[in-house]
Amino acid sequence: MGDVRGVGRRLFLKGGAVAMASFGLGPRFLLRAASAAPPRDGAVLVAIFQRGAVDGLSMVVPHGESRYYERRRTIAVPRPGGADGALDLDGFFGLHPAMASLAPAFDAGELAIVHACGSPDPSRSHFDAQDYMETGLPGDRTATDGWLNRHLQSTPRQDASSVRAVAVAPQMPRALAGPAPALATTSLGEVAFGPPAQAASARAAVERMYAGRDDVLGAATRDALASLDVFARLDAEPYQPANGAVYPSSELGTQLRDVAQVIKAKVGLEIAYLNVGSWDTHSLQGGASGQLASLLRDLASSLAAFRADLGTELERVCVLTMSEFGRTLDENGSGGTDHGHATAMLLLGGRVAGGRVHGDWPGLAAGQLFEGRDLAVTTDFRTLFAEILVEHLRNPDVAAVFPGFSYDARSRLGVIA
Amino acid sequence: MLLRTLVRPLLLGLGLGLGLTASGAAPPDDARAAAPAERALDAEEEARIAHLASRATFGATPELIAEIRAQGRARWLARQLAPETIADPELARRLAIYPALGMDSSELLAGYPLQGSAADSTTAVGRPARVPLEVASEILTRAVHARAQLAEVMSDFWLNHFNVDAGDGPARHAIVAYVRDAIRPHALGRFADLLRATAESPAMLYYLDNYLSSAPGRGRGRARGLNENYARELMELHTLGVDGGYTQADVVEVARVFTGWTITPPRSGALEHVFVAARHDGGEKTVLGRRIAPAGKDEGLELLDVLAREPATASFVARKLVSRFVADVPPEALVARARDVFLDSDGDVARVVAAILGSSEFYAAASRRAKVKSPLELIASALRAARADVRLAPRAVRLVAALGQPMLRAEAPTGWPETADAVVTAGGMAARFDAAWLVASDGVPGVRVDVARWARLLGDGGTEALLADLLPGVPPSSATRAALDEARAGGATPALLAALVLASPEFQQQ
Repeated sequence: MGDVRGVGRRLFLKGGAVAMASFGLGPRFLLRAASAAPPRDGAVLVAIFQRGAVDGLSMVVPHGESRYYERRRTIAVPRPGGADGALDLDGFFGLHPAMASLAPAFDAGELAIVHACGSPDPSRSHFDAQDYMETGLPGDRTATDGWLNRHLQSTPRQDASSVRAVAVAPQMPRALAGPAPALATTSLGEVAFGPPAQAASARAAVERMYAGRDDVLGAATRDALASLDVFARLDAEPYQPANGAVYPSSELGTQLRDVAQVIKAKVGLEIAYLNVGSWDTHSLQGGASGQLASLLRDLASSLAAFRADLGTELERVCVLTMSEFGRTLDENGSGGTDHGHATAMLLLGGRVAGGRVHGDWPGLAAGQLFEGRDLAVTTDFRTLFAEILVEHLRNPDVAAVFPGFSYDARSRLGVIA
Repeated sequence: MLLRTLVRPLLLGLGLGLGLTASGAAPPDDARAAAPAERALDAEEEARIAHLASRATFGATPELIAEIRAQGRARWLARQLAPETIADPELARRLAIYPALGMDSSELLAGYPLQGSAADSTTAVGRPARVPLEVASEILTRAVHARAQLAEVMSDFWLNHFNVDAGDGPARHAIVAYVRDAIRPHALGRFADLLRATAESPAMLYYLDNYLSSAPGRGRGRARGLNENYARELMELHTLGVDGGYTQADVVEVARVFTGWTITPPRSGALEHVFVAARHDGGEKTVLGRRIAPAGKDEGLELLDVLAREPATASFVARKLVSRFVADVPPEALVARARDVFLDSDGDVARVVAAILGSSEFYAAASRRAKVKSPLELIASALRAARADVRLAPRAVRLVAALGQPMLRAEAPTGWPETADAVVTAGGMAARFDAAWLVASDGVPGVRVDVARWARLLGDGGTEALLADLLPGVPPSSATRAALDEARAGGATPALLAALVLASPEFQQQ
C-alpha cells in the first residue's frame, strides 16, 4: 500500500480499503466534484482512546515513590539515570523510556500530563468505564449520547457541508454518538459501486432510497454521501508529511497522518476521534521493554510525527489521550497488572501548558490507595475534559455537555495556557 | 433410517417452494378464493413466516419461505431447534477443503507451525494465521449454505457472547477446537455445558490469561500469582452481568478458584487444557457469600455450575437473546418469561429460544424489520439472496471485515456490539453498498453468482420480481421502488439493479 494516494483512498486502512485494493476495483461510486468552500481553521481536538486501560503508572512513572518499585518486582520501569531508565520529567515523574520521541515536546512545553486522573465511578468493567468516560456521565447507564456529541449539539454550525467530527473507527464511538452529525469511517474513499458509466445513476438511486428515512440507516447514508464530497477533494493529490515527519506504519501512525492531512486541508474538522487498543496488559506487560513498551513506543512516535508534521498548525490543535481506568499498583502473578482505578492522560498541542505534570499526586502508600490497591483519582476526568471544552474548543456551556457536573474557573487545572 | 424420513419433508418443501416462486410467490390457490377475513389472516401468516425466516436464519429466500409454509412454522422451528436431525452431506463436502477444521491440537501445531518451532517444515500446511481464516471460512460457508440455520445463528450468538480473539499466539490454533468442540455442540444445548466447555477451552484460557493464574508463591516463571482477567469477565460478561451482584472481593476469590486451570505449552506439541494442582490455591474461598471447600479442579466446576444457575445469569442471558432475536431494546415482559424458562429448564437454550421465537412480542408488527443486520448477517444474507455458490470463502470473509467486524477478531472481551446504533456508520454503509455490488455482479473471488438470473427475473416480472426474489415477504418502500424503476429506466444493468436491492434500506434490516 506504499504509494496509495490521499486520505480518501487510504482513509484509515483496515476494512474496506484493503478489500477493495485486493479486488482491484477501479471505478468509484459516489464521488462528486467537491464544491469550493472557504477554508476553516478553528480549534481541533484529536481524542485518542486507549482501549483496555493503560497502565498510567508505567507510562508516566512515579520514580520518586519507592512503593512503585516494592510492589512491582519484575515490571517496574527503572529509575532515571541508568540504562532503560525512565526519562525524568520533574525529579519525581518520568516518561517511559520507549516514549523518548515525545520528550522534546515536553521540553518545548507542548506536552502536558495529568496524572491520577480518572472517573469518580469505581467500576473496573472495561465496558461500563469506557461508556462512562465517553458519555461524560459516570455511573449513569441510561445515557445514550456522548459528551462530544453534546458539544456539537450545543454549538451548531450553519455550514452542513463540512466534515466537523470524524471517528476513525468501524463503529461510532459512544463519545460522538447522538443526534448531531458525525462520521465514523475507515474506508470511505474506496467505495466502488457498479460499472463506471453508471456510477452517477447508482449514487442517485442510493440517495433516493435512503432520503426520507429518519433512522440510523438514513442518517449514516447521508453522512457517507456528504463527506465523500469532501474526501474526494483531498484524494486528488498524494500527501507528503511536512518537516520531514515520519509516521510509524502502524494503524495509529497511519490514522494520525490522515488526520493531519484533513486538518491541514482546512475543511472544517473540529473533532477527530481515534482508538488504539491492546492496553489490557494482564500478562507479560514488560518493563522498560516488552509489550507495553511497544505500545507506548508506537503511541509516542505517532504523536511525535504528528507534532512535527503539523508545524505551526499545532497552535490550533490539542491531542488528548484517555483510557477507561488505570491498572493495579501490584504486579499480578503473570507479569502483568489487573484492572485498577486512576491513570495518566496526555495533552499535546501548541496552547497546552506543557512541560508539567498536572494534578495532585495521591501517593502510593497503603492508606493512600483506592480500595487499598489502586492509584486513587484526584482529578475527575470531567474537570480535564471541561477545561478543554471551555478553553480550547471555546464552548462555555459545560452544563450542556456535562450535565450535573459543576465546573468553574477555580476548578481549572490550567492545562490549556 | 430416521434421518431419511426426516429429510424427505424438507425436500418436498423445497420443491413446493420452487413451484410457488415461478408463479410470483402468490399465496396458495385456496387462499385466493377465501373470504376477505381469511385472506387477511393469510397475509398475516405470510408476514409471520417471512419474519421467522429472516430472524431464525442468515437470510430469507423464497425457497426457505416455501419450506416453512409447507411444514408450518411450529414444525419447522422444532426441527431447527434439533439440528442433529438435519442431515447435510452437501455442507460437509463444501467444508472438506479446509484441512484445519478436522485436526486435533497436535496436528494443528504440526500443520501450521509457530515461528521457530521444531515442527518439520515439510509437513506444514500453512502459517498459523491461516487457521482462523479457515475457521472463519467455515462459519461463513455454513451461514450461507447450512440447512440447520438456527444452529448457525446460535453459534454466532454464543461465539460473540463468549468472545475470544483468535489473532495471536496459540489462540490461532485453539480457535478450531473452540468453535468445533466448545461452542457448536452446545449452541442449542444446556448453558451449563456451554459455560464449562468455554472455561476448559485452551482458547479462553489463553485469551483471558487464566492459563497463567497461580496461587501466590505456587507457580513459576511468569505464572507466579493471581490473574483476575478471566474471573472478572466470567461474571461480568459470561454469566451474571455487570449488575449481577458480585464485588471486587468476589473477583479475587473466583480468580483463586481457577488457579491452576491452564494449558499445555505449545512447545509440548499439543495445546490442551490441564489442571496443574501445584499452582492451585488450596485455601477455602467464598464467592457470592457461598463457601467453596478446597477440592482442586472441582472447585471451579462447582463454581461454574453455581454461576450457570444464578437468577442473575438467567436474566442476563435472556436479555441478550431477546435483544438479538426481537429488538435492540428488548421487551421486558418477554425478557422475564425467557428468564423463567431458562431457570425452569435448567438453562436449556433450545427451550429459551423456542419461547422467544414463539412469543407474541417476536411476531409483533413493531418487531418486524426492527433489527439491522450485523456485518456477518448482511454478507451471508446477500450471498443467500443471490443463491451464491460459496466454494472458497476467504474473500467473502474479507467483506465481513470491510463492514467493520472482522470475524474472530474482536479484541475486547465484550465481543462485537449488536445494536443498530453501534453497528451502523457512514463508513459501514459505504462498505455495504460496495459489498452489494460485488455480490450481485459475481465479483467475489471464490464465490459464484449466476448474474444471468437478474436479467431473467427482470424479463419475467420487472423490478417487482427482482424485489420479490431478493426481499421475499418484505414490502419495499415507495422510495426504494421508485429508485429502482428510475435506475432501470435510466439503463441500469440487471446486476446493478440487483445490487441496488441488496443495498436498499430494507435489505439492511431483518
